[in-house]
Amino acid sequence: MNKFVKSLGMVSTIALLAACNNGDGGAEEAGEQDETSTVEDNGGNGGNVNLAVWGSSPAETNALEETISSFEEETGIEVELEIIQDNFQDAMTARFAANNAPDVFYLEAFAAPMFIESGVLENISGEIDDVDDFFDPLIDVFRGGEDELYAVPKDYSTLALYVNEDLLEAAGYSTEDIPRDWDDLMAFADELQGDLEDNQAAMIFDQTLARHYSAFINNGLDPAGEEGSADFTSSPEAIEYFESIIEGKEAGYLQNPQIDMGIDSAGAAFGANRAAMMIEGNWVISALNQEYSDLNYAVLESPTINGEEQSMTFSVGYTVSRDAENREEAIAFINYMTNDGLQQWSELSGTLPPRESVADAMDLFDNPVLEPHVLAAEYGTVWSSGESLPVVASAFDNYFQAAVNGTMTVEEAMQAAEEEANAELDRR
Amino acid sequence: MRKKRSNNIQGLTFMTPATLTASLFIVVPIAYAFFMMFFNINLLSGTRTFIGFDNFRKIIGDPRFWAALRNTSTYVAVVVPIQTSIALILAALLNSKVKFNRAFLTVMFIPTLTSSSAMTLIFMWLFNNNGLVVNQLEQLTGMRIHFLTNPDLALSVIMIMNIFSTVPHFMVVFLSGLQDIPTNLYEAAAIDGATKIRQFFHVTIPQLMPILFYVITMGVVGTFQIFDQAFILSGGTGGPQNSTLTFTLYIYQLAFTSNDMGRATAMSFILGVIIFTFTAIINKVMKADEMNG
Amino acid sequence: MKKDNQTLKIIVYTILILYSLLTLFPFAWSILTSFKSTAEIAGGGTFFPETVSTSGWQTLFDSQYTTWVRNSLVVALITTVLNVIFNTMAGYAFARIDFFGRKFLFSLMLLLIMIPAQVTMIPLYIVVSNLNLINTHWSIILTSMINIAYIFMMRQFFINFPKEVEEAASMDGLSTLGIFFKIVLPNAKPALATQAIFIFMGVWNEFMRPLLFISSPDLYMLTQGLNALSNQFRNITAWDIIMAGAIFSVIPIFMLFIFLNKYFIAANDRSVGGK
Repeated sequence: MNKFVKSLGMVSTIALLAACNNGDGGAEEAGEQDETSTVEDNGGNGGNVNLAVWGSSPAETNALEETISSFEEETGIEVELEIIQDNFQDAMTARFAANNAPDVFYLEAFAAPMFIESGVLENISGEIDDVDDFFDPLIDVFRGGEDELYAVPKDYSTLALYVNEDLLEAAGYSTEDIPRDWDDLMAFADELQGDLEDNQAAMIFDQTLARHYSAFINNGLDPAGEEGSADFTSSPEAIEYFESIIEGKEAGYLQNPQIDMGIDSAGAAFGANRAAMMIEGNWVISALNQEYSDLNYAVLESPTINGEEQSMTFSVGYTVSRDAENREEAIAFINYMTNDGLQQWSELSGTLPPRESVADAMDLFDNPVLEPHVLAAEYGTVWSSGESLPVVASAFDNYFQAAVNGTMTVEEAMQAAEEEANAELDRR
Repeated sequence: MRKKRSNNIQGLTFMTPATLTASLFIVVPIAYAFFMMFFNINLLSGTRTFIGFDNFRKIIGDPRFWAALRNTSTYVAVVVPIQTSIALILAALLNSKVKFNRAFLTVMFIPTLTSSSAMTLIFMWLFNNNGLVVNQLEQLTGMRIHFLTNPDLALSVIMIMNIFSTVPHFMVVFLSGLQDIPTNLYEAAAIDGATKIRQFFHVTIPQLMPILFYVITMGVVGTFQIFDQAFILSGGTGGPQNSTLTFTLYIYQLAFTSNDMGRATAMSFILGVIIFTFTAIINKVMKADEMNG
Repeated sequence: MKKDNQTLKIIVYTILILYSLLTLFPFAWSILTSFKSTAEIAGGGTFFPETVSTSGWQTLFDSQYTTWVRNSLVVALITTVLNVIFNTMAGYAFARIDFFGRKFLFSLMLLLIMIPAQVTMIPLYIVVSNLNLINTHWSIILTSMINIAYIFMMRQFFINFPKEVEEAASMDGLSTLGIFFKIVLPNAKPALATQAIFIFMGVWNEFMRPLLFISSPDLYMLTQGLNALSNQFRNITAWDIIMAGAIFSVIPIFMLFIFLNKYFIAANDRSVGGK
């Protein structure tokens, strides 16, 4: 024990010394290094800018590299690209903590409030061209308390209802038979299940909050809307909605691809003719077309809940870190990527353009597969809601899984999730 | 007196590279972390307020802390004894004048050579819900058992994987220890009429005590810090109902979901104390200090 | 008595063979998977590939995989050499030299090893960043050039190591440093080889540090690359590519193991020859 106490004493002494050092010396030093490295790297005439992104499909990486080349040709500004493969958020946090943040980086709407509230992003209000052209929900999510702008959307995904036409036909139905409203859709799925083969599911479901937040919103409840508190229970209609999912899961017409079917992803289950319907994002399209080219499928808009249109939207933007070394170049880069270069990026990467004019130019409103996704950009709920959302979502996912497993009722699960989230938010 | 001084110089010379590296890349970061645990820190903006022991109060009052304590303790209590005994038995067998022991050793060592990321991928594929184990079990028993998505079984898959990849490591450590036991001890025991099994318990085990202490300590430290697999398995939530929440996952959540680095470092300090206490107890029980002189 | 030995022998061999098969099985299954086509994998399929397809391996080698293998090799080799020297010196000092502060340093190291790595990751990043090492391979080499666990192991090794030889050398007037390099190191080959393999393994398999410190794809370490591969291909169930990557990542380290096998617990041979 004595040894331990001695060691502790030693550690705390060093801690104090280190703390003092870090307070003044550290930041300055880091700043100096940044300057020197800029001087060295600055090969082009138009300056340079460094950009950090997360790793995604090879197609997206190629698309990004090509669009960046176009930008470099146009402006003479050189882009230094860094791809962080995993734990992007942790890497960015570490870089901000070390005063070593990139000029520009990807920001998902979900994490935006945390970055905005921490005051580490550059206010770029008034510096982005033609802001009105963006679909409003996609860009509003990147605004601060006084409407100031901190990031610009580069692409987005929305949820839509995918239907396997072959399976439907074999069971004696057609796409027209599919009802638009959620409750009717569940009744239809129940009926359809009886006409399918044993290893097939009428519909695939996902149990994370990210897919169902809009169901709360449509029932007049924003679970993380009020800063510092969570609410999953004050809407009986929302609870009924989640009960309908559990009901479907127990009756077998709703199945989870990993748990119930043993397939790695919803897209793979759907593509392999194991499910007749799924609510998924447009990210599945490239896999469906490449890996399962024989498949005949149609895409419809997400079901209405409580009589109103709904979908979930996942928006990703470019943001500039505050006091960025190359602020002017950074803003020029963002403007190019989300305006002149946007169509090139969207076409090459297969993502959806957040500007209405580009969506028009790409004829997306006439594209039967993409149209339902693009329409949802106007009415979908963007997956983002204040700084509390990560805590609230993690509590929901923790307990709703228990309801899915049948160890808790939906009401108990919601109650428990709400309590856990509130307790955690109080501790902050 | 001169001897003492030259010892000091020589000792410190030998320690210099280790001490320098440890100071710069281990002590300074830990010290910084230690300093952070008394503050409410926003790493992004760099703002901090001193809050004394508040972070500890918050942790003790958090039911998830107790869930993590329960899960991690279960994990340690199951994995450490199993991996230590299998490693010890295999090492004893390999040491018992078998032919081809080099070949056995080489084959058995492969799992330890494999990186945890590759190993996790291989196990995920093996125990995948559409994978070999699930399909074969279905053919045998008619039941589909979903190892990775059922939380109770998922934890046991992590345990199997952990045991599978650490056993060869500790087996080799034991083996090198076994070979240092003087053969005349066994000869003496054999003359006294002790059977092989009795020899194992009365000669091998006592002689192996320092090595056993090392293996158990490393096992406890390693299992208390289990992170990657639990993270991959639950997608970072530790769910359902916190059943896969381990200490390090809890720390990770505090740091990055709650964006509360102060509480995360306070929690890791608690974990450090728990591990230290455990090894101190093991040390006392096994009297490793006396043995090492 | 004779018969008893016979049964015991059969039991011993049975256990060893069974455990070896158990060990090989997941790897055999992965190798077989790597030669299947993605479509066959998605359909469940049989144990052996229906048609042998090398497309998984082709995709693997068309990516930057070979660059990542080379990066990991270079970094792991340098780090291993530094570790073996530094850890052994420290372990020797702890075991043999009675210097001022030994007990304290030893307790301190025991304490340090217990702090979970997740906590020190961000402070460590700040230190490494202040040394201007971010996005260089030095960030990995310098931060892992000693390993407390193996200092601990070497200390145990030297405690069990006969003192007589060193004492004799000391009589002959060799200094402690001289004894260390001329007498101790050559006699410690098995322990050094064991340590080298484990250190190499640790660097080869390190995940979190490369993730935080290195962000240019050209400089990626193998585990990072493997993770990137699996993120890309898991959703389309392209397990053939992932398994090819996982299996190939074992090969270099397995070869090093075979190479050092001779020294690895060399004393082992003594017990076989005795019969």
